[in-house]
Amino acid sequence: MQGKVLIVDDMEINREILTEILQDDYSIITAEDGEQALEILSEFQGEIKIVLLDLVMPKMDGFAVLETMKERAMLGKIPVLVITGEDSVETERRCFDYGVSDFIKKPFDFALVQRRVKNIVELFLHKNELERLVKVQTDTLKQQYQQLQVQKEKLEETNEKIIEVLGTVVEYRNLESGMHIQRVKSFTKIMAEHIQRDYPEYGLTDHQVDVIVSASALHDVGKICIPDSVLLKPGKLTAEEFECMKSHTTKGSEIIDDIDDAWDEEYMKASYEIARYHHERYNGRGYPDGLAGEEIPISAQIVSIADVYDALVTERVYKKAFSKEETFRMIMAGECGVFSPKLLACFEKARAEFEEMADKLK
Amino acid sequence: MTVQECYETLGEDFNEVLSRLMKPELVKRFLLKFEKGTEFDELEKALAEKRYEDAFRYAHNMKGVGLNLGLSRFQKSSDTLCESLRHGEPTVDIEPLVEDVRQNYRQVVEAIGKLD
Repeated sequence: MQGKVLIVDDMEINREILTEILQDDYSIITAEDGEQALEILSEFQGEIKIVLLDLVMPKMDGFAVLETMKERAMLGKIPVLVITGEDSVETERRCFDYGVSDFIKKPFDFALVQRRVKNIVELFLHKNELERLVKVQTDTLKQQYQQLQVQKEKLEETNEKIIEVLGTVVEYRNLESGMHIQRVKSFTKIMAEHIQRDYPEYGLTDHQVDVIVSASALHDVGKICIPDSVLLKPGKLTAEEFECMKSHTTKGSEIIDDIDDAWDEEYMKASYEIARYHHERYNGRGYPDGLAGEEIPISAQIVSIADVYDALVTERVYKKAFSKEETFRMIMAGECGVFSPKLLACFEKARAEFEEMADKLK
Repeated sequence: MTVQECYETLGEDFNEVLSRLMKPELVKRFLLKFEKGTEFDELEKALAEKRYEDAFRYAHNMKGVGLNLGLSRFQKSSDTLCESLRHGEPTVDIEPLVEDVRQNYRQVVEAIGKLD
C-alpha cells in the first residue's frame, strides 16, 4: 500500500501542482487550511508519511498547525516540509525550531520536490524503525533488570530466614535467653555503626553492617549441641564442664559450615566468624583458637563486646544482674577479657545508647 | 495559440517553466486553472473593504502562483503589493501598486484566453 501524503495549502492550484508531482508515488490527501489539516492528521495519523505545509493560510495558519503537532508529539514521528515562497531567514529559523524537516520553495520543481519528499520519507521510516527497535530493547532490559531485582530480594529473604530460624532454635534450647538474641543484635548494631563511622580502615559498608547485625543472632548457635546438664546448670561449672561449654564456638562454626551452598557467602562468612570467634580476646587469652589483635575478625570483635555487655547487665542462672554503671566499668577495666582500644573507644562513646537500649529491651 | 506562444506573447521564459513542470500540457492545465480562479477578484474585494490581512494573504497567493507558473512580471507586482500589506493597513498609497497587479493580471488572462 502507498503511504499517504498530506498537502496543506489554501491555493487550489498549488495543491494541484503538488498532487501532480507526487501522485505516482503516494496517495494524496489535501487540506485547504490548518483546521482541516489537523482533522485529517488525527484521523490518519499512522498512515500519513509526510506533511507538506503552507504557512500563510486563512482560519489557522501553518505555525498554528506546527504548534498543535508539537503539543501532540507528532513532529518527531511525521516529517513536515514547509512550502514557502519567500527567502526569509527568520521564517526558516522559526520553522526549524519547531522541528520542521526542510522546505519546498516556490517555484516548484517537479524533480526536486519528488526527490526531497522521497528522501525525507525514507529517512523518517528508518528513524522510526530504529526508535522502535531501541524501545523494544530497552523494555526487555528493564524487564530483565526487574526480574533480577526480585530474585535478589528473594535471596536476601532466604538469607535472613535461615538466620532467623537457626536463631529461634537457639532461643528455645537455651531457656534463659529469650530476649538475649534481640538485645545482642541491637548492641551489635550500635557498635557496628560507631566502628563504621570512626574507623574507616575496616571498610565496613552499610550492607556489611546489616549482615553483621543479622548474623550476630547466630553467635551462640553451637549451644544446641551442649547437654542441658551443662548448659542449664545453675552453679559454677567444673573445669571439664567449662571445656564442654567452650566448644559451642567450634560446634557453632561447624553447623554454619554445613549449611554451605544454601545461602549467600557474605552471610555465611560473617556468621562463621561470629559463631567461632566471639569469645576470642584482643590479648590472645580467649578461645577457641587464641587469636590476638586484628587476627580476630572485626565482626566477631563487635559481637563479643555486645555479648559480654548483655551477659553482665542481665540476670543469668549462674549470676545476678550488674548495674549499668558497674557493667560499663567492668568492660572498660578489662575484667571480662581485653577488647581492642578502638572498640573500647567506640563503646565509651556509645555508652548512653547502650544503656538506653538495655532499658528498652529489659 | 500554443502554450509556448502564450509565454512568448507575455515576454516570459517558457523553457524555465517547462524544465520545472516537465510537460507542456500540465503547464497549460495550470494556466487554465489560474484563469478560472477567483483569487484576484477576492484580492480586489478585500482591498475595497479594507480587510488588509485577507488582502495580504491573497496578494501572497498571487505572488506564489506567479512564481510557480513562471509569470515573472505578475509575480513581481504582486510581491510589491504583498510587502506593502504585510503589517496590516498600508502606510503608503497602494493604488498604483494595485493598478500594476491589475494590468499584469489582465495581460496574463488575455493571453491564456487565446490558448487553443
